[in-house]
Amino acid sequence: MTQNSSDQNDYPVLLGSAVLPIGEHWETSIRDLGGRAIRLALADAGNPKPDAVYIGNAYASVLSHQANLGALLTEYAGLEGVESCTFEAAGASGAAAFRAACQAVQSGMIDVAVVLGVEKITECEDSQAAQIANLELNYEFETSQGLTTVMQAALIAQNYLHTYGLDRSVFKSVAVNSFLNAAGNPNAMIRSMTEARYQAQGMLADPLGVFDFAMLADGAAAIVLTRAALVPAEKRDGLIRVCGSAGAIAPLSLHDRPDLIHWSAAAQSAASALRRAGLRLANIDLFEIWDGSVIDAVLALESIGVCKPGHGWQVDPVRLNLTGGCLGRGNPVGASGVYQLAEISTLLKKEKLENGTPQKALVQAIAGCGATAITHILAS
Amino acid sequence: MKLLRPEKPVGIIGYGAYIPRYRIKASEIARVWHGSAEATPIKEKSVPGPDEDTITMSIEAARNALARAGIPANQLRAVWIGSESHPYAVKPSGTIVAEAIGADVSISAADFEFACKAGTEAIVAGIGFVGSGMAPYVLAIGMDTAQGKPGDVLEYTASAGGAAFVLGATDEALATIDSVYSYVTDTPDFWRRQTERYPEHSQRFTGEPAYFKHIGNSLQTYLDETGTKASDYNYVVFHQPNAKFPQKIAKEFGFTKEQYAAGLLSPQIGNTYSGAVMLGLSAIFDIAKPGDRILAASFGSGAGSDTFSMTITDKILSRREKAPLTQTYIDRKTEIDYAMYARFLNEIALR
Amino acid sequence: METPRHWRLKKQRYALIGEECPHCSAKIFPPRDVCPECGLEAKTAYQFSGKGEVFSYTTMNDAPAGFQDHTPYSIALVKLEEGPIVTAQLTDLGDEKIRIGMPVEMVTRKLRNDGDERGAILYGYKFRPVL
Repeated sequence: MTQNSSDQNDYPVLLGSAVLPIGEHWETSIRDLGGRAIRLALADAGNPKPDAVYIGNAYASVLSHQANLGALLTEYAGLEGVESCTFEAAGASGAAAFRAACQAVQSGMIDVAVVLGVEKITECEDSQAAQIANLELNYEFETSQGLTTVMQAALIAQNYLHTYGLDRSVFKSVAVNSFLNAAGNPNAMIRSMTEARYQAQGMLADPLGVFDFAMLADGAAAIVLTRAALVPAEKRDGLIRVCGSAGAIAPLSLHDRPDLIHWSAAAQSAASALRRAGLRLANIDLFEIWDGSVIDAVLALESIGVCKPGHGWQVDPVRLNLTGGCLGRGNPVGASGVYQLAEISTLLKKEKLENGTPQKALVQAIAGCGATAITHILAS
Repeated sequence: MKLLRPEKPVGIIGYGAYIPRYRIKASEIARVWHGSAEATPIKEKSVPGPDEDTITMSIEAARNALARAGIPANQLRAVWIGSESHPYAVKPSGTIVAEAIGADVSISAADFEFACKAGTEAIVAGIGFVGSGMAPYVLAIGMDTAQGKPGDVLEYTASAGGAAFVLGATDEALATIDSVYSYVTDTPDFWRRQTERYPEHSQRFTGEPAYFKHIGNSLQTYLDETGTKASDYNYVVFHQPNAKFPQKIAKEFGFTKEQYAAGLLSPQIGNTYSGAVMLGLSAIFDIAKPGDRILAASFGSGAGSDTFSMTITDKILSRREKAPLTQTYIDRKTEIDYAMYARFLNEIALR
Repeated sequence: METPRHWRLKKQRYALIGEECPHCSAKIFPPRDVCPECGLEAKTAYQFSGKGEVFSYTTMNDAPAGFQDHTPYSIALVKLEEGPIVTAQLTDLGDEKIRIGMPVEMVTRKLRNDGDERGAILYGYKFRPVL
């Protein structure tokens, strides 16, 4: 999005969306998952003819032995001839594809774009899938030392607790918030959770336990976007619009970061997205924050400025991850960014219908423990 | 003339030890294989960590030796490693060690193998290299992660460790090398075939016809040829497959406990094979005074023995503290049980 | 097997050789083309001392492929005395408890096999409690 958009009717609006249940789709291939989500989203949008399908996916080229999802999935959805390709930014892949779609429709180069986030984790044994997640580390200087994404989060969490003199119990509020919110989400992969069960969890990588990490799972979600100018004026008001979008990166490797617990990419992308939306943090009603692990959410909240440094775990006053976040929902990595946006837009729509109040949401996807952050501001 | 003497005098200008952190008590091995009543040949032995091998241990010993030598690694003209546990069947340990310590590419790098005397073999060759004027400095290492079949009597003693020595001209030396004698016969007391994991040994035959005959002949010839006697030396170190053999040979030749105690490490760390005499020497260098004379006799199965003597110079005083002492490595220990030991040594098949 | 990649990295891995920026004297590890301190080109090799302290750490109970033989193992971010932070395994801990600020020193150890037991042995830096 350009910073000084002269035409207010350029902004992207969501025509429709669809999410498939997150879980273990043993009998379904990545082609079926992706194709179904595209068709369901188009149906939800009233079956417009799309010009492009932008796909967010992180692992298909390894886990599904499948490259060029653009041609495979888009043709499978019955859209032969339409432009399509994949965007990869690990956990932020879905958000990257969504941002590309926003850029395309807002620029006028594309009229109707479909954003698909799809990930098929359960093609192989769990250990193999967990290994694939380590692709997002620096292979030569991190993975080769035996570092994993789980350990990366643990190293940051350890530094966080040490810096503020806290113990690991502070993470409970973040995890329990997401787990409890997921209970109301029919598409979430529910891990039944109580405070007692959380506290009794086994340690995965000190100081983080098994319930401090979102479980990797299959999923596909899609959103249909166009720009407001192409929607008849009387229909525009009911649509969710994208009023800000921005991405940023920080050093991939932890050892290259000057500060482990201030996530500059999260801060920069959120600040830019807000600036482009002409909003301040105080204008945001609800937050959908990445919680692939609890420390992701804690540091994103602090870096964005929602919470003070050292207080990112005090989430009770924040309307946070209302559909369950990655922790509660399950994490189809490259698709999760699209789940965040699709579910929050559905929620905004529903709440506006129910009480007539327009609201604004900040939705942020993070990859690589703060290496990549992509933020969108949605408004009803 | 049976002695080996270089044209130019050669000395040891740096030395460095390495012993891994882990120990297993001989009584723990006895508990698993023989019941608790079995008498054990030593108290405990060193065990390499799961990420250690002859190459990694050689790298640390070499770094220690270079620190004491006070020369940059790129001055070395040879990196030679004596071991019977080179990690590769084919691919030199020497190239990896040379690269890791920062040696130049214009060097000779080779792996020596002569059972437990591969380390002194590298020293003898190094004396020739330096003493002929071909090279200013040679790095000679004796290092092993010794193998012993689980349940076999060798398992009590087969341990890990060794030492590295930088050889150079005597004007820089911590100890000057007087001369060398090597004694070799074809005696099959202990061997390991190419693709076998553990060595075989001919049990009682390894004693009299092998260890005692070879060290005895080597030592006697050296004393005769140099016209010296046991009491001329302040310290003596022998190959030490257990605690008993070296003490027996010492007594036979009239050496006292005061002479051999400092270099007798096998009761505490086991038999480090190619590293044994090297480590014993390193422990002696840690305490010897300028002017002290040291006699060393190695033994390698197959079989042979190298005997050589050294005289400590005053340069030892300023260089001794530039690297960890042998005793520091001996004292740094963590005891493990047989289960952990079996894991460390890859005795538990994971695939 | 990935012979060229591991061969290319041997100096960094075996001996912690990084770079010194010729413009601002910053010490850099791992080596990179552009100095992270001043943004100018960096190319001069620099031998790190290998001394540092634990900046953060964790212990893994569920190892990835290639590291099962060593599980549980600990990884630390080690702050080198020259400035940079290195990601590395801690080794030879014995029964010592890791703590932030613990002084550690570099040793060269086996990292893993390149592939399986038929592959080359990959050696590289780890850190242990100072001897």
